[in-house]
Amino acid sequence: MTELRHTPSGTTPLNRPSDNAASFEALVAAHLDAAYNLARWLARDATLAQDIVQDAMVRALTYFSTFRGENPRGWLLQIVRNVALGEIDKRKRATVSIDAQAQNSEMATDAALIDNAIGPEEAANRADDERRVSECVARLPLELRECLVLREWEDLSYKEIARVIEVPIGTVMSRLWRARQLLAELLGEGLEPKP
Amino acid sequence: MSAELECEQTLLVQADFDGELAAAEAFAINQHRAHCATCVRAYETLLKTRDATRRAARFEAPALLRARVLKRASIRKSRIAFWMSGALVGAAAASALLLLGGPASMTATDALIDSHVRALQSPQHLLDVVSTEHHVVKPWFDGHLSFAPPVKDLAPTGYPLRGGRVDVLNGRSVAVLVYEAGQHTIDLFVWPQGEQQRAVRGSAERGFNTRQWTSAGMELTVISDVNADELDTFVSRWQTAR
Repeated sequence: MTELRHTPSGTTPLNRPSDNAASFEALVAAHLDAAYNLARWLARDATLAQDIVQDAMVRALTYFSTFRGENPRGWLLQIVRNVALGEIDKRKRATVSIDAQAQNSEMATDAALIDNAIGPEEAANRADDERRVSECVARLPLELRECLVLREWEDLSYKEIARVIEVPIGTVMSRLWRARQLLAELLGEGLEPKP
Repeated sequence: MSAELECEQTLLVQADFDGELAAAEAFAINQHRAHCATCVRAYETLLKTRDATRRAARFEAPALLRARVLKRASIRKSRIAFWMSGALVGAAAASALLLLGGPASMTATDALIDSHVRALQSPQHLLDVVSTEHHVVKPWFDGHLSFAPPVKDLAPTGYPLRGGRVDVLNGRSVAVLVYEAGQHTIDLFVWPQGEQQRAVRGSAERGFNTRQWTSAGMELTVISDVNADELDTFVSRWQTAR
């Protein structure tokens, strides 16, 4: 296996002054957009994304004084992701019977994994072109979507992604590739006029 | 999953595209790409999807959300200042030091107690997986963590397992096993710790008793409002259970 170069791209260095709350404010100022962007792509709903970020920030604030890591952004995104998965899971259980019916009727191909549950107000104010991309990304299965979002919008290195989603780097690489393949397919479909 | 790679070099083409390869490896994979039709197509996919994602804007946090989060942080700040002014701080720091003892990466007891309290306050947060069967709880953890915490059923000795949850402490995921002790709840926090072996140590803070020890490469901490004797009983039964 070829050695991967670790690129700490875009990481904002954060000093560790004695005043934790003040440096927590610095953390919020630096990374709240990243937190929201991830939550927004995972939840596919603006209101839910805000709830997730608020909940995540309360958790982060609680544990910030004991945080000793080098990468506060990765740490924060990990918390956001955990909260988001919990919330999404909670909501999924409520609609599980409908999902189960849909899944039973399909073969387990990547195409069948495509998540069709797009929020009704999804990307409502975006330009057409941009909206089409958003819709396609939103249809990717969650485990592929999170890799793609962390890579393409948050510019995280493979190593950083691996830490946030707690899988080996090899898994990040294969998920990212599947995400891109599937996205390319979806974008291709979108070129045909909608019925 | 169906996504078999047609060429095993494709993931390296992608790694190069993402700026993850050192110069020599990047050169080698570019040589390969010149002769591999599969990887040429893969590169086109990479270009196409990046072009698409560059067109979709990154979501920005709404101003109201930012204001709310910052407000919470500043409330917290004034609370910390209040506590710092109190005489309690010396005693609290002393007991925290006693417990910490280990490397700086250890999770402070305070954060564990916070997690325990928060879980008790909101019942829906107490358990991510609800089951008295350790055969159910253990695989659930395996699917949610990068390590496999020891899950034991203590129902025969008076402490039935109620389930578990995953919490993030000190920037890493920890397993929390939740046991029932009469009307009380005992949280057992587990995370990987390495080789260091330590016998059981205890403390009492903010009305909660804690016991902390290591076993088989795991750091274990129990927290509960049951009395110290009862918690000792729990720990010894946990240690002797299979």
